[in-house]
Amino acid sequence: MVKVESLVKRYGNLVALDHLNLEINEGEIFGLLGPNGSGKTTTISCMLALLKYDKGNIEILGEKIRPDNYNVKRQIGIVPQNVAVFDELSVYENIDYFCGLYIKNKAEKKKLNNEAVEFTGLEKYTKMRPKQLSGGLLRRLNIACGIVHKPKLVIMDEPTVAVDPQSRNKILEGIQELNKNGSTIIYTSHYMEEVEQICTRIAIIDGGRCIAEGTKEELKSMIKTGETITVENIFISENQLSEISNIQNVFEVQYEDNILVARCSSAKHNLVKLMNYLQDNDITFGRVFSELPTLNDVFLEITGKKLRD
Amino acid sequence: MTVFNCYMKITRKNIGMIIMYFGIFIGISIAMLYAAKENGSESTFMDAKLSAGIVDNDKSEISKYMIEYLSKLHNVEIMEDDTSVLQEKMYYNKEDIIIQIPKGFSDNFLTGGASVSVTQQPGQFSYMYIESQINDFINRMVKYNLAGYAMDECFQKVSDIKESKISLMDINGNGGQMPDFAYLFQYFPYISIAILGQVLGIIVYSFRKREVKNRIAASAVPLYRQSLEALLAFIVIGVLVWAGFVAMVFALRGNELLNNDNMVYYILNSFVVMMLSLSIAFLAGMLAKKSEMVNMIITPISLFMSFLGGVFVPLSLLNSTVRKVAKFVPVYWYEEINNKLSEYAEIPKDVIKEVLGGMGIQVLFTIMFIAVTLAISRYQRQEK
Repeated sequence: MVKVESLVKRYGNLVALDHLNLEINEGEIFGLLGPNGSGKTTTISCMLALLKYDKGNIEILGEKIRPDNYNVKRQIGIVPQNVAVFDELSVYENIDYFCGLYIKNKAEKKKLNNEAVEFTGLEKYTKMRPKQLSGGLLRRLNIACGIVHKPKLVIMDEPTVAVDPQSRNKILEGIQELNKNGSTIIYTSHYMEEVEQICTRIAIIDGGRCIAEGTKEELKSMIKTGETITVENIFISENQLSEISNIQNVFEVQYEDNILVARCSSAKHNLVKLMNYLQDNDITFGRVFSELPTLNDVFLEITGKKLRD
Repeated sequence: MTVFNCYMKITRKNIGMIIMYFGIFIGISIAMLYAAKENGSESTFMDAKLSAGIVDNDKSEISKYMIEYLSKLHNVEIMEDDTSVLQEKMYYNKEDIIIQIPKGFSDNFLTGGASVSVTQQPGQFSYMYIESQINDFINRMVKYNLAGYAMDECFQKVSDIKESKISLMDINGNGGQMPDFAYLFQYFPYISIAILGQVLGIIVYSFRKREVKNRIAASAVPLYRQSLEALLAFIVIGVLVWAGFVAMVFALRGNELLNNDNMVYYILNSFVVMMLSLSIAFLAGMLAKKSEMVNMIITPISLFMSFLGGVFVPLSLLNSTVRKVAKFVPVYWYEEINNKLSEYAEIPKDVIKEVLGGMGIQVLFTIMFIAVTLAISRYQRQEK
């Protein structure tokens, strides 16, 4: 559905996109994951023909995207990072306005408006102005305006920024439902938990380049970390730390502020082996956690920095 | 017509503010109209007959002629030289003025040294009027007498002089006064700039917000169509406000306006100033960084242009330096045209040229504001 080939975009001397390649298939929820400034919004702006790019090619629905390619644009919905609505219009009027940019038939427009209102749960707020809405409701309005015309492709640029957890869950559920109803979704975020939760395929972007792409399982399998074990309130010597790092499958240990973090490769009984060592050496400790790798671990291992650095 | 409809919807939301401005406009216009009428009825000079008591201590031929002369001009009562009676007459306001002709008045008459004593009510200045008449009488009697006329002939000639008549050329057809409807037109620039600036300025700003602009740019409506619809909405809203104003003028002073040969020029001039207001609204919307800023830009612009352009203070009251500066304010040319139109019932050809020239200057200002706005818009795009 979307094909981005060797895309280059420069702002003066700054290279925002550096030969970026992406391929998004119909029916996917495709996650673009990367820290702030990694090039996610620039990629989306190029896809929507809002920005001219220096090199490369973008095809959407089999056609090259251009500012005047209205046939393709008609099938795209956009949910921008910041809420893009008219403060002077009511919730319903805003949805109606953005629907009108795609749909001319009045009866169809009315039907779609009502469906968008219902889908985003804004029924009680249709007559209110955006300034009267809470942050979560405002984000829902932003989504309603982007999806009201039932586009085949919905591009969502960090739609949950500054949203409370309850509203965030509602928004994420809505996106999954939208996908079930037939829309392909491109979802950018720097929240790895969200991307993990809803995306069927993920591209990790850093410095304008795609550094990894695949399903979350594929991405996690690319890295060495299979399990991260954290032990709190533990007191160990340098010698013992060295011995722990020599336990089978443990490839990295960190000891700081009486907290021990051991990264192990994917294998069975990593936790049991560590616990046995601690008991055999009469080492006391507090709480113990064992975590499977996250996308943050993927990012950390590939780039050497954390996603939210 | 999605963009057009959006403009209209937002304008409808501001209908309260529009009505408020029109209300203020009607209030101010009517108040100023009545104030101007009251000022117009005030006279600096009033031909009036005074009650004059005359004490003739000279009892000469000349003093009798003078009393006869004054009798034609005022209500004269001959009185005895009794101080208490004279005081009583003055105290009870039975006389406005007491004239005492001293003994020897006729002896000094031909030498030019004759004078009378005038006593009047405190706080009044009518003695100046009667004194000047007495001096006039004495001077003319002396002149005729020196020319060789006998006293009775002198008096005859002085009495026969007819008053000069003044014919008023009523070239503006309104007795030299500004027509009532012209006062209404005088205030239009203020409400036009204020209403259109506030309403359209906010809409321009709303469409300019980066995220909204991008969302619309990414939509299926071509950019040229969006621009055309926005332009159409601008003109329609401007014309509606202008038509509302003209309708109000017709409602308040319709007959007067219909009977005025310059009606078309008045209406055309107000249309030009409406177009100017649209360009100012466009500029304000482009300059604003927050919606609240539109008001902060429009209020000082509308007040500045109105004060300097002669909306609130007539141009005739501005000093020459201020008037020179005011020529750089487009509203000045609007008011200048209005003043010109109110001076003539039927406008001469050379003045028509001046009127059209003034409208042309307003159009040039409009084009300049649009050009500046487009330059700012281009600069803002490059900045991004």
